[in-house]
Amino acid sequence: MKKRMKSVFCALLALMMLVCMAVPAFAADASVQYEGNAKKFIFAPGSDESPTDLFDNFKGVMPGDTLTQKITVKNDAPNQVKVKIYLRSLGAEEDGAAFLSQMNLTVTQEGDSELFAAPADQTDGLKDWVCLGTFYSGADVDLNVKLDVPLTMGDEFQNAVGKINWQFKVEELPIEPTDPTPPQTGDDPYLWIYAVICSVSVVAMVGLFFAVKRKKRTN
Amino acid sequence: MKKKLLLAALTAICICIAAYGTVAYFTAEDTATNVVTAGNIDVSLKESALAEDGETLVPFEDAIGVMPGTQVSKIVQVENTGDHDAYVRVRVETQIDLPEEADLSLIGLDFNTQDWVEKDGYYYYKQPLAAGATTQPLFTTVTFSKDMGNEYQNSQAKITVTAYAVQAENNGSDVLKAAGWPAE
Repeated sequence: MKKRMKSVFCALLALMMLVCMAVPAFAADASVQYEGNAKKFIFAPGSDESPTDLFDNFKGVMPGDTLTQKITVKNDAPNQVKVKIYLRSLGAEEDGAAFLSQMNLTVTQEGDSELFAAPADQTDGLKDWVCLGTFYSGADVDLNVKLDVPLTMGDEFQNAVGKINWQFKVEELPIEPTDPTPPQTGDDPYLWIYAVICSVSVVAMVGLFFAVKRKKRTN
Repeated sequence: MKKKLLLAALTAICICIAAYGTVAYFTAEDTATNVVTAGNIDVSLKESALAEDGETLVPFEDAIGVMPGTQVSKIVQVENTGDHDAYVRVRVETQIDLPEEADLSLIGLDFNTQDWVEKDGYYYYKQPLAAGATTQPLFTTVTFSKDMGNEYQNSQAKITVTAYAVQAENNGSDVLKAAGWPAE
């Protein structure tokens, strides 16, 4: 009986582990994460054509398609860091520019401010840096990208590939006393080093103070 | 010595504070290369025949020495080899090489009118064909009429089948309403 219970328990445990490991694959929202101490952005999901590809939903487009892609831009720094994040478009790579010029791209920032509305090969409103906002650790903003492919796009563009380069820039800012208290989203992984050095220094100073005092008393 | 120690401790504290403070002034840039790719529409004609066992399918080969009143197995299907759903249509042209005008009705094809519909000389597959899928046969047998006279001896009959496809997405509610068929 005990053995059977053990087997059932093991089977249940294995099943639970399997369920836990099964990660559902959702139709992709893309993300741009500023990692703070790493001093770089992480772009996801990427694709076979480009590891930094944010346009996961714009593959195999057909004439008449209207497609959307949500991109979440996030300050994912683990410590409390205030940043400004900027975006600009470097335009289309020459090889696929003719293909991209066939379709219209619209980029809207959460809250309905339109950053870009033009043929996809152009830079339009993203020619110069556009500030997407000031973000505390954990804060984010969504960019909604819409691609309209006209029915008139010809057969010569079957299997065509177009690449659009977007540049992101971050500026870390000091947190001012007047800033609202940012939500706590994580700890600075190096904070303990500063704390240890400070504590040792304080202990040393206190020790020194008493040592001097004792010496004076002895004298 | 003790003054030196005090100085060192104060310096360490200052460095700590300065180091923690300067962390907040970095800037960084990075580029995302975003990719848009176009899909495609492509079809392939599949011609097969029943082997002698009457069950196995083998690639169709030209039939030689066919006599009046016989049937030849020729199964015509279309495969969607593109990456999107497609509407499919097929043109079938029959021809008999003779010095005088031939009676083409002497060659019969058993058209599948359940899955295909004829309009203006084309046979349209009624359903959109999914990527990777194959149609039901357009026809499976070619019948040479027993009424073929001696004038057809040593003649050559040709059945030319051509398949066309157009995207099913954003293109009408059914195959007969689809636009943008490739030019012949």
